[in-house]
Amino acid sequence: MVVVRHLVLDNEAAFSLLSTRRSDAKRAKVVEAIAAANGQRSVPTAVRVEAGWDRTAPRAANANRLLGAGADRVLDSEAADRAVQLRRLVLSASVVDATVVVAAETLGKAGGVVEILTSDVPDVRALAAHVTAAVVVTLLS
Amino acid sequence: MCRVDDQLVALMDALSAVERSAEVRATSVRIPEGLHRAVLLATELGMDESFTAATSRALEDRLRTFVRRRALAEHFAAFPTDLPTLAAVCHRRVRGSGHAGESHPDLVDEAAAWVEQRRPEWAVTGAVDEAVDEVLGHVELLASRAAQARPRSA
Repeated sequence: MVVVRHLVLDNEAAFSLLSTRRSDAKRAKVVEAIAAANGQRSVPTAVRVEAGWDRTAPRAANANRLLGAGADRVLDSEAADRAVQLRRLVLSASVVDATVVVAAETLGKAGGVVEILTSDVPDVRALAAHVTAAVVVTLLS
Repeated sequence: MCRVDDQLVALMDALSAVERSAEVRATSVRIPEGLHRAVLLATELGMDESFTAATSRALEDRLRTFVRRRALAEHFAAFPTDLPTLAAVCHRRVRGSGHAGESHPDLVDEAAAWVEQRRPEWAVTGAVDEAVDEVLGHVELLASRAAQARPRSA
């Protein structure tokens, strides 16, 4: 059985990946998730803004190496419409959370499991309940 | 950022440009006659729609694998404390997938320990996917044997 696992990072996971400390437990968890994700790995651009991930900044070098520009998921017109629809269903969800789940839904169309690594499990899980992709929501703690 | 990092990021950017642009470049590449014939035959059998598509996809797949391995290897070299165990990566890979490893975590641990002994370089080379696939293949076999060995209920 071929197992395909995709990954979407929320802002807490993206921020952790930016850490340049010699040892960082949260960053290690994100890296483990990246290692496990043999499918597509995605960072919504709204997540990058929230996390302060500027790809042109020297401090982003390590994060860029693991998740290059090809991982960016742009919030285009279609994605924005879908994010609005989801937020109407989960009123407490943030814009960033909605873009994360929209990204997961898009990746899930290719099949496989999509892991969302997030610090906001309740809202993300509530949003993910309204998409048809096989989503696993993991707490980054 | 060191020069190798610059090159790796440039390579990643070049690959992401493949998805965004249909621009092509004509190039003369000499390939072994046998390989040329093999690709032609494979496209006739339906592997890909054309010789160009077959060679482009093969090249792109190989590059993406290389980039992933290199990125992970360089990260683990720079941040050794971020190195996960092979078992941890395998458990994570199968979570939510329905793979036998989900219901047999003990077999995942056993197979991962065995593969890690045989492939101690898996992290150094970034060959995570190859190592995980090997572990999960063994787990499927072990789980299948365990299921066959279970006594049938009367």
